Amino acid sequence: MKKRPRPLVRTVVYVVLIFVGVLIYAYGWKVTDISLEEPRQPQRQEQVSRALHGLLNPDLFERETRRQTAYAYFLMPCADTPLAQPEVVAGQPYITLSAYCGETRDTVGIEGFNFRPHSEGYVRWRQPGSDTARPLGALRTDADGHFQGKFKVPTVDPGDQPHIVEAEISWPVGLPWPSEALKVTVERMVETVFLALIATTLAVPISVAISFIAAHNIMRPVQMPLGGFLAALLPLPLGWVLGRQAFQPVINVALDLGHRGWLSVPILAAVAGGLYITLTRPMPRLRLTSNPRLAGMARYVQMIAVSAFALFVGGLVSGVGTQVSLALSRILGGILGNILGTLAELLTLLLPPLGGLAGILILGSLAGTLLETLLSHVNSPPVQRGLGLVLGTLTGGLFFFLAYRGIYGFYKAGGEAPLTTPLAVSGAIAGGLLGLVLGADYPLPAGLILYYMTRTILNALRAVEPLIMAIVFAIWVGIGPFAGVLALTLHSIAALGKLYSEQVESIDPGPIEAITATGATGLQVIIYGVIPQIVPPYLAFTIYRWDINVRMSTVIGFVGGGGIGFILQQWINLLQYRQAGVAMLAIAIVVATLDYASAKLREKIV
Amino acid sequence: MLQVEHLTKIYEGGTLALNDVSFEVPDGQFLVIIGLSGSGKSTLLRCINRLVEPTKGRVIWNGIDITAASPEELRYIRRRIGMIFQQFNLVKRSRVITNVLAGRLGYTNPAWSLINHFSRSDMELAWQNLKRVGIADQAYKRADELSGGQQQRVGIARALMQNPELMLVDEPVSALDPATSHSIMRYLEELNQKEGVTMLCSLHFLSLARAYADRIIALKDGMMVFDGLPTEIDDARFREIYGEDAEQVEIK
Repeated sequence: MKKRPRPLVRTVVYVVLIFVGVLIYAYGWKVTDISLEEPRQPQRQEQVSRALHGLLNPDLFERETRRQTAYAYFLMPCADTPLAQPEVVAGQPYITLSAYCGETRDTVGIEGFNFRPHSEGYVRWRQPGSDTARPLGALRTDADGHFQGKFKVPTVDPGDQPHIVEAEISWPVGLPWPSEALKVTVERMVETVFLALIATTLAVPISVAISFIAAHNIMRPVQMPLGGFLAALLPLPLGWVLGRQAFQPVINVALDLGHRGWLSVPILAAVAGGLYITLTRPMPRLRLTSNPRLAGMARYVQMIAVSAFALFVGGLVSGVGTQVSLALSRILGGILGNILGTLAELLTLLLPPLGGLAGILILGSLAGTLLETLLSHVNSPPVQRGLGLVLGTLTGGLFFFLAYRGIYGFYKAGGEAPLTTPLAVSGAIAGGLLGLVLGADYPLPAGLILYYMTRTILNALRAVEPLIMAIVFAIWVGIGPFAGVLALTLHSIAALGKLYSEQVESIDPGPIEAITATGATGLQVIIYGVIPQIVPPYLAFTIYRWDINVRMSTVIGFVGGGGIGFILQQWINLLQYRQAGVAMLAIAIVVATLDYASAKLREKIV
Repeated sequence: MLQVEHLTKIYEGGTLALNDVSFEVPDGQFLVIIGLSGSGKSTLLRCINRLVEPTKGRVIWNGIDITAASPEELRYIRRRIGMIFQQFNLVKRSRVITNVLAGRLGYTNPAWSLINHFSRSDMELAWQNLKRVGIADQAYKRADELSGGQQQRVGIARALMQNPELMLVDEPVSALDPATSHSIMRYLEELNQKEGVTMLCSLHFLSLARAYADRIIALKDGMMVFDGLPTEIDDARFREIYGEDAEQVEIK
């Protein structure tokens, strides 16, 4: 008896669902304003027809034009003395009027002789002393070079000077040359394709690095004791300031030396040599001494020395780079000088923050080690909790304070942030509670935290269309391809980061197991086990992304991002449909070609 | 001598994979581990070179406590232990020669291996091992272009690159047909008898175990239920190991 009502119930449910579906669809149809009324309006049809005519007849080539002109004088109003007309030269074109004087709106007949046969042109009215002419009508010559027609005298101020009626025909002559529109289109298309290329290239290395952080299987095992984490985090602001201050002189000296050019090479060699000798001879011996304090100190001295050296090299490279770029600015139209100079400038800007970062890392590591030594003397659950409480309170308070100040300063520069104290205190309490409850030896899933943060940021960035990003970037770096590059790069990083990380998450763990079992180091496992598995999909995704970027870069000009979109929009706004047709044709060809090429390439790789 | 003492492994989620397993393996022995799927054979092998961390117990090899070794020491131990896998575990897109050379990574200077540079003696060793397992002509093919039997031979060549003293072999022939299975087992037998490499091999088929083993250990639900000579497994013991419904299958 249970089975009987079932089919009936099912049918009723289906009918209801279909009905609801129809309602939803009907509502959507209405909301999207689909109607046949507008398109059937005669003006719309005429406009569309005009636009299509232009688009389908692109202005690709132009030829030189030759002209023939003849004119006659016309007096307004009629006077007693007849007007002198231009002399008729045998064989040259001339026109005759049915009347050589009259009033506004008089109908006048016009005849033309000795013009080039079967040509088209215009009859125009020119006011005395005026540069512009008013069209009166079109004309067409027959096989004898003769035409005739009528026109109405236009409404003009008569004045006392004679007006001019002129007839002009024009015809194309010579070979077709690429038109202005074609030349501009080709230039802009090149810009567009390079826009996409550079954006993709810049995005790839950053995405590759991010993809490992956004991979669940790689990040899950990364754990850190809470105490160590907080202890390393606490001196962060101090490390930043100290790092920048301490390393700034090193950077300045290096930049200065770099600017001197040739001098930097021997100095670099000397410093490198000295550091190498120090690091490989006395330092390892120092680190292996039984005195742990000396060994620890040696480790920090080494870290500081290596950081200073790295920053020194950075400064030298940057300084030398600037000099080299200046020298190269005259070769090859300065393109090598340009890229080198911009990169050197970027490096110079990055060096002080890198110094700050080095300071943070060194100081954080120092703090972590101090904590470990402390714990090695006395370690028990209450001590862990106590440490957790202290560290949590301090870190929580500090970071809430810094975060609040930072956000407040961003929205409203200057002025006392009102809620500072209560926020800092609540941060301290929250941190302290967390530290107390978890204890300093709680294995903090640092990897997973980083993973979730990265994933969220990537998802948020992917949700914003590059077109919208380009608007913001255009305000910052000005309208032009640079804004487009930045917008596409940012979006590509988000998209590629996600695609790449999904590949990393789906690698076969078998080969990784096998290579680990041979006694390989972690890095060797990555190079021989992970990388061969992910390179082909990574390449395929990169090519896919480049394809997408080329499409996007064709329209990013609509919002000021440079490329062909910019000029296409201009032409459409000026109703220059023939020129717009050239741009559209170019876009279609380039996108279709790249689409085909990228599909073929991807086939070969995977 | 390999000593396994009270090895226990409980996975996250509570699965008891190994339950207080203890045994000793003298050098040069061909030991086969049998048991149903899920009885803990793979886990046992992986606990020995710590691809899986044991929850309790110790593994001591030639006086070295593997379970207490630091990461550095563990690498030095692992490179003397070769391992062969049921699913071959080759890097599919890499060429055969690269897969085989990867076996030498434990002995290569990490800096050189970063740029895929192996010393000439490593290359010669690779060719030697490839010839030994009879696939030298496939050296430049992609690993996934080879048949199952050929891929397992690549796996053996890779393990041979380590000149191992001990080999952990996890169901090497479960994915292969009977004829190929025998040829693979014969390579292992040759290594064991000619070069005295200790073999710890887990197998599905009792008939294979009987043909190649010096000694058999049987696992059931993570516990050791038999430790003795192949001839000592009669019908009664067979049903004990494999359960009441099991039937003997011959691999000829």
